[in-house]
Amino acid sequence: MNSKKLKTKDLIYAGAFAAIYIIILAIIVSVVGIVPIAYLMSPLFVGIICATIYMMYVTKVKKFGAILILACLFGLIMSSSGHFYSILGAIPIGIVAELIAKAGNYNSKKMFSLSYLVFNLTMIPPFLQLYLATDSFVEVSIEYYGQEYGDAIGNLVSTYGSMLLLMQVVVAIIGAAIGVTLAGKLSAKHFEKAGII
Amino acid sequence: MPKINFDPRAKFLVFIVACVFCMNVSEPLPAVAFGTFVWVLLVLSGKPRSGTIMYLTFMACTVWAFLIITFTSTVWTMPLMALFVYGRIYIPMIMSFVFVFQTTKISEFMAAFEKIHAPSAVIIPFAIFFRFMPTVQEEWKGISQAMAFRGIGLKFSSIFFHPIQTAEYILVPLLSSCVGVMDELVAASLARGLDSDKKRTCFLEVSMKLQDYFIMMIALGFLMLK
Repeated sequence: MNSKKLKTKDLIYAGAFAAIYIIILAIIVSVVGIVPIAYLMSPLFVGIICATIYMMYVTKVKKFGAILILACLFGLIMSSSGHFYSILGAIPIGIVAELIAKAGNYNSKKMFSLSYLVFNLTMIPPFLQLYLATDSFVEVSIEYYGQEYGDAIGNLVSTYGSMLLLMQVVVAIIGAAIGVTLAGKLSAKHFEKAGII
Repeated sequence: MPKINFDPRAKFLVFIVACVFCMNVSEPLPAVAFGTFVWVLLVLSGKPRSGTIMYLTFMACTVWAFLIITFTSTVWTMPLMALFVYGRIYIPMIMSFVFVFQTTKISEFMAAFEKIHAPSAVIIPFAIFFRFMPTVQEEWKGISQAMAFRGIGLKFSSIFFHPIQTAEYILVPLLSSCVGVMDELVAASLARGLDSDKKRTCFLEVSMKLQDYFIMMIALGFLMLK
């Protein structure tokens, strides 16, 4: 029996964990999205919270392709909800995260943690629209959330520009790092004891 | 009223169009037209009650958002505005989601997509993904009720002052119970022979009919209109 290949069981886990990941992500983003600056910081919050879900998923499915499937589902869902760059970013990020986890032979916590630092960068492509087409993004925000909100976002982007993008990347990595530490603590405190992992 | 059974592929196309359309349309009128379209589909496929409730909520959100943006737009109406706009954008998407996944059985869904030769590494995670969304929501509801019962309910202060602790309170039960559900799903799928390498046979007759082409045309029409 070839245990390295993804089987139906693993595919089911992939779909289910992706559902949890994206629902939690959507809740976080819609809560913080009310304040413009917090909206731009959402990779931080997502990294902190969703790391636990990711770590649980990779420790449950230790096979090549698992992380890539999660990344693709993530990209597809985000793209279908209007952030078209998501899928383009998610696939290479997924591949890199996958290779990092593979380098640890799907057995090292350190490599899994490292792969999440990369994986959390999937939060950046959805924002690319903001930088590449600022005017139209601001216009849409004004139509959606009113003048104040759109202006606030537009001002932030035009003042800081690519610095803001860089900051988002840094924040995403910091968030992922905090999240991974938290995930380690939670799994030692709860999940390992309960025999879930 | 007789129920019309649409093909899963046609339903799925409506869902995709709903996602793209609702995210990109900012004027109220086309949004209302699309909402009405999905509402009619929901009523036709046997979900008149929940469909109508969602439709009315959607209409209320649209009207309020329109009123606020034409008459007042200040810092203070911003959160309220965001709420109504979320309603206007997401409710049609949720309606079409219900249309696809609560009026279709998973086996029907998989049979239809196997017919267009999608590989199982694509179909299974995708089908499970959508099958699992309502489950996660149910678990979430249960957990927040249990938390409120113990006096640690989700409040702004608890999120703001003890974010990590709050995350722990939510994540640990959510993941534990979801993993339980997943294990059951896996067991059920093994029992149904999903794991076998042979080609699956299907009792249902899956084919596109006139009504399916009709709703696909309308959905694509909306996409053009945008």
